[in-house]
Amino acid sequence: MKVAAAVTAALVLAVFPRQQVFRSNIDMVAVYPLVTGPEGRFVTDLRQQDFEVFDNGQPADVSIFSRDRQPITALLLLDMSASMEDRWMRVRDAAVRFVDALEPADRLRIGTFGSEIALSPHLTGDKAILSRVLREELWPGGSTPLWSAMSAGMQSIPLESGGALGAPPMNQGRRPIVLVTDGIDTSSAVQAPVAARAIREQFMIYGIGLEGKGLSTRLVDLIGQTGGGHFDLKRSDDLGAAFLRLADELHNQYLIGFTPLALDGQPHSLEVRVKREGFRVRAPTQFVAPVRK
Amino acid sequence: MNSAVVRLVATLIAAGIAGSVQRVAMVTVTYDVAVLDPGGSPIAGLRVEDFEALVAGESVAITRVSAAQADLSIILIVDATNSQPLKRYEINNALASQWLPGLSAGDRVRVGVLATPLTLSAWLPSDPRVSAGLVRSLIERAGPEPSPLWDATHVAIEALAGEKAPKIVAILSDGRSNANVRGLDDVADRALNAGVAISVVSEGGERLLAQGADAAARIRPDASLEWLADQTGGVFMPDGVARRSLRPQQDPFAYVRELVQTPNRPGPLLTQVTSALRQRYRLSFSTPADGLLHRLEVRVARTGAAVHVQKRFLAPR
Repeated sequence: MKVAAAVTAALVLAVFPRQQVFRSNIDMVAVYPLVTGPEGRFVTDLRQQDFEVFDNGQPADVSIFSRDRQPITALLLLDMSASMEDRWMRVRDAAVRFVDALEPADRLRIGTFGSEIALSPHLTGDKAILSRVLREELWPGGSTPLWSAMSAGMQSIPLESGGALGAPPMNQGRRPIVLVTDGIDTSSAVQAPVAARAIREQFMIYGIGLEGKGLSTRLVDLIGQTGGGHFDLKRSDDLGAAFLRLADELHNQYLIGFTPLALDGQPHSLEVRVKREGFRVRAPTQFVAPVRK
Repeated sequence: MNSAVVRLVATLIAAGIAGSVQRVAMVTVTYDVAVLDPGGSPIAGLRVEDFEALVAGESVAITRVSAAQADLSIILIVDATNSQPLKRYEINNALASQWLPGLSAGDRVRVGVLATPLTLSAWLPSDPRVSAGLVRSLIERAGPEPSPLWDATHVAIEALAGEKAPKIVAILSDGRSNANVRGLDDVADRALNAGVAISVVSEGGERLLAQGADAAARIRPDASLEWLADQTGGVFMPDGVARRSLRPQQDPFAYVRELVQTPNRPGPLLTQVTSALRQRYRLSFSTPADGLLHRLEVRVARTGAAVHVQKRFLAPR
C-alpha cells in the first residue's frame, strides 16, 4: 500500500521475483495499494485497467503496474518503555516470527525506544543477525519517545541506502516503518515535522497497538495518510499472528506508477480506486509531487 | 592474561595408536590466572602443587608457576548512557578520587566513553589529577544513547594490540548493550584470540517481570558481561545492591533507605578488579601443537577459592 519512490530522471524499478525491470524517463510517483475483498482477504489478481488513480481529484495516467511480489526495506520499532514490561517476551517472540516471514530480497532494521533510542546498524535480510539483535538487544524500561524514534528511524534508511538526506532514495522499494507500542508518546520533542517528513519521503507507517492507551489519534491519522495500516490488539490476541498478517500484507501489494498532473513540489491529495464492487483499497491519501528538473 | 606461546617444540612424544607410532609436537604455553577468596581478594603464596590444569577435560602437567607481570595495559570503557543507573558525577568521582590514584606507575591506561563510535582517550599521563581532568571532559561530552557495548569492547581490544604488558579491558556498565554491529560471541572470540582479559563492574541488576498471569521473564542485563569476563579470564564485580533488588517507582522510601545503607561503590570495585589482575599467577604447561581450540580449566586446592582464567585457547601449531 503505499508510496515508494518519487523519481526524478530515470526510473528503474526492479521487481522480484521475476526480475522484471520497469524503465521510465519521466517524473513519476510510485504507490503500493493493498486491495481486500468483501471477506477481508487480499485480492492479488487485478489488472492495470481495474485501477483508477486521482491526483488532486483529477484522473492520472498509470504507466507502471505490477502485481508481482515486491521486496521491502522495513524498519521495525519496538516500544520497550516501562509500561510494556509485562509484554516484553510477547513482543520479542512475535518479532522473531516477523523476521522468519521475511523473503530473500527483503531487508529489515530493528530499533527500540525506551530508556534509549537504539537502532541496529544492520539493515539486512540475514535472519541470523536479526535474531541475534532480538535476542541480545531488547531492554525494557524508560519512557516512550515514539516520534523521536520514528524520526531517527527515517533518518537511518536513507543513510543506509546511500541516498541523499531528505530525498526519497531511488529504487528503494517500499519503506514501511512498523511501530509496536501500547500507548502515547511521553517524551518526544516534536511530532509535526516527523509526520510531514513521513509523507514527503513516502514512508509507510504501520502501527500495532497493544492494550493500553492505544495508538494516538495523530498517529492513526498519519498511518492513513501514508497508506499504512494498524492493528489494535487485546491482551489475549496473538501478536505473532498480527506480525504474520502484516508481512503477508506487505508482500501482496500492487505497484502503481503514475505521473503527477503538476510537478510542483507541492502536497497533492491522492485516491486510488478499484472498479469492482465490494473491494477496498488502502493507499496513501497524500503525496508530495516531485519538482520538474 | 593468556599470553601466547613461550617456547617452541620442546619435545616430541611418541604415542602408540593401533600399532603405529604417531609423533606429536608439544609446546609450552603460559596463561595468567587470578585466584580470589570469597571476598574477591587475591590469594597469595600458592605453589605449583596447589594448581591443577585441565585441557579438554584432561589433566596436564604444570611445568612452572610464577608471578604474572604486575604492571598492566588497561582500557576502561565507561558507560554514561541513559540506561546506566550511575550518574556522571558518580562515575567521575569514582575515577578521579579512587581508581586513577590507585593505579601503579608502570600501568598504561586509556579511558573510553561509550558512544558511537567509542570515544577513546590517549594514553593517560601518570599524574592522576591530570588524568582525572581529561577523563571528566571526555565523559561530559558523551551523548546519551545508544549503548553499542560490544562494538566498543572490540575497539578497545584492537587498541591494545602491540602492548607488552598483560592486556585488560575493564568495563563499567549496566550491560544494556544495543545498536551493535558485532555480537557478544564475536567479541568473546576476538578477546580470546588477542589475549585480552575483560573485567567488569556492573550495576545491571536482575528483575523478574511478570508476563501475563502464568509466566515471568528474568531480565539480567549484566549476565552477558559476567559471561564475557568468565570466558576471557577477567573478574566480574556486581555493584548496586540497593538498586538490584528494588524499583524506585514501586517503593521509593525503601529504595532511598537501601541506597543510603548500601551505596554504590564503582570506585572501590574498579580498584579491586585492578588489584586482582595485578596479583595473578602465570602458569606454564605443555600442550599438543595442533592448532586446535581447546577448553581450559584451572583448579586450586583452596576451599572457596575462585579461579579466573580464560576458558578456551588456540594451541599453536
